[in-house]
Amino acid sequence: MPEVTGSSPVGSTIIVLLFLLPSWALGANLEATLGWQGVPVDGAVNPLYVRIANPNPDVLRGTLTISQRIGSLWRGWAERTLELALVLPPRRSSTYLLPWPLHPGEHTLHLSLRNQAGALAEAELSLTTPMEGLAGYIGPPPGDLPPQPSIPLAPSQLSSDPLLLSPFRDLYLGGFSLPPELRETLPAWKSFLREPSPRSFLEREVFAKALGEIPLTRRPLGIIAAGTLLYLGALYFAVGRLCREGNWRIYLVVSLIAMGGSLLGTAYIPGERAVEAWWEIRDVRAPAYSLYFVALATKEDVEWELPGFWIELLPTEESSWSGRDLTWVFAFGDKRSSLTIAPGRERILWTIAPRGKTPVEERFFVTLEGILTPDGRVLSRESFRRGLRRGLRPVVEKLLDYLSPGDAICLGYRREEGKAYVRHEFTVLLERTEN
Amino acid sequence: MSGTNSPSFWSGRRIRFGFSSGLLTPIQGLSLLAAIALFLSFLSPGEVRGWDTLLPFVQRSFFPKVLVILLGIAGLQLGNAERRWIIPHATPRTRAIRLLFLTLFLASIFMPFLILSAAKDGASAVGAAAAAFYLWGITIAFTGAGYAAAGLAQSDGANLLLRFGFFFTAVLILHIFLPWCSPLITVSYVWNTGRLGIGFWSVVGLDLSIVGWWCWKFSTVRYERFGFTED
Repeated sequence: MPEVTGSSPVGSTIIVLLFLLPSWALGANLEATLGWQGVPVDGAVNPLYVRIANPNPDVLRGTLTISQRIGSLWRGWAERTLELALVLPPRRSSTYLLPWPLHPGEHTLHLSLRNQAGALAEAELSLTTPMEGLAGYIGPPPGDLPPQPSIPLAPSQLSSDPLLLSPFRDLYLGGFSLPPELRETLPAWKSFLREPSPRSFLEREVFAKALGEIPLTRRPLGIIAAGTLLYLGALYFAVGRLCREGNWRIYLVVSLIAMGGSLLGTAYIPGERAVEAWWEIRDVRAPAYSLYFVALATKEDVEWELPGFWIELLPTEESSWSGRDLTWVFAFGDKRSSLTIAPGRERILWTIAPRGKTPVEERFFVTLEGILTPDGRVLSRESFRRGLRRGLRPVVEKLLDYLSPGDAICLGYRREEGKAYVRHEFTVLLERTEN
Repeated sequence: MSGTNSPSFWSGRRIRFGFSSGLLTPIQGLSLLAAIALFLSFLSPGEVRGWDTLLPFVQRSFFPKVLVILLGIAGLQLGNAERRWIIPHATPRTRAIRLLFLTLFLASIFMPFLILSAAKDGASAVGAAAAAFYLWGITIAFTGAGYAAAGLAQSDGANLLLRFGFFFTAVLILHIFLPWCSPLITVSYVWNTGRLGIGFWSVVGLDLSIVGWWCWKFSTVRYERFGFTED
């Protein structure tokens, strides 16, 4: 089995280009490595180490921009960009650990460090063919290592961000005690990312289907239809009289009543631009973190921003990646994901983040006979599914396949309405008995 | 001063103000189409299977764009019918006022729909009012075009071709080659932003030009020579 040591990044070639700078600055050094021990993993969030050295006698204030073109001629092309605002003391260097999800595409990452005066340094990081997964171990290599590439780790190397553990299919910790911050991270990796995980079997189609169930607004369609028919009938009569007899008074009355009715109706028709549907998957075994999915749909092109670092679940149809650009902006502890939503091109993203505060309301137990409801009834899976709230049915249906008799599922829901959006927050807590 | 088709319809106790019965069918058909478009724009996911296919057609400002088309057609029909509508002893000034009034009447038919659509799209009151004014301007412009086409074309077929040839040129060709004054883009801009751009002022300028030309052209000439009697 291939084993990778920590001393030399395998296959990741770094080309660093130093640029001549104005007389007041000497430039900066930029080096980057992608993946645990330099081994990138496809479809996972890889750690990207960027080392920046500031040889200047002045403080370096700038923005590091990392970009990659993902896609293919068949899929279409999209851009992934990460912008990191940074401040570096004079004559110091620092290594930044950043998350970088890998999708099929160009095998090059472009890095650029700029300040207000212009480019300070640029680099290109060529990627090798990514692996499908890694195994990591602390201490001596275990005897039953799986066939994927295995990597020796020190406890201090493991990240406190569970997303960065996504390249690992297996982690062997031996008897080593972990730092306190990792005691919350590892259960999150185990519950949400380790195969078979909710992250892998909750596919994009599940959320696209769930999103399709959610109306953009509750619109009074019946009243609108009835009012419109009434207006058309009165209009035809009034216009006929107006045409034949020249009597415009009837038309005036009809028109004024219709406009008054429309103005009255505006009070009951909410205007909106986008719908955000959030699904928070909790697991009792990972009390600090949740697995989040968000789906965004709109009726017009809008720029949208999500708090945190989100990874997109991409569709599989031809040309479906075109224009699905995503920009992550990191600035002094604040992380945001910025993207465009367009009609008919819903965006579905996922992340792992600290657990939310939405309370769960109802607990349902999985039994051999069916689903035991809080009021003591036993429902078939189909009856249970039909009784669920719109937007939750496909997700719970998929999760039930993953649960065993004795497990329980708790559900919660919250709706928030803003001027330009409606947000549906679905919460699912999994209480699994198996280890 | 009363009587059917009285030129001085604002005076007298009973105001009588008829128009060609040839306009009834277009008004009924176009208002029905507007109602269908409005209902379509109100649909959303969960209510329609295959909603994704509908999305490009029901995005924000879809309905005002539909009204540009419908009021354009209505204006053409109105101009065409009015050229053949005899008003005894009418002066060009009376005819001009009558045409402006009829365009306002046509635009007003669709206003209840426009108000509902503004609420649904979250358009501002200024944007909705400006879009309504713009739509009236479009109706005036196309009424002028219909009126001119009825005078230029000798046969019904040529008249039809001229009218709708002009319509497609004004809507499609402008949309492709001169998007800054395309009615479809302009109405969307006015609707979404509440601002009056160059497209808006183009139509205002065009309307003022039509009215100005009319005043100049008919300042000394009576124009009954254009008309012929309709049953």
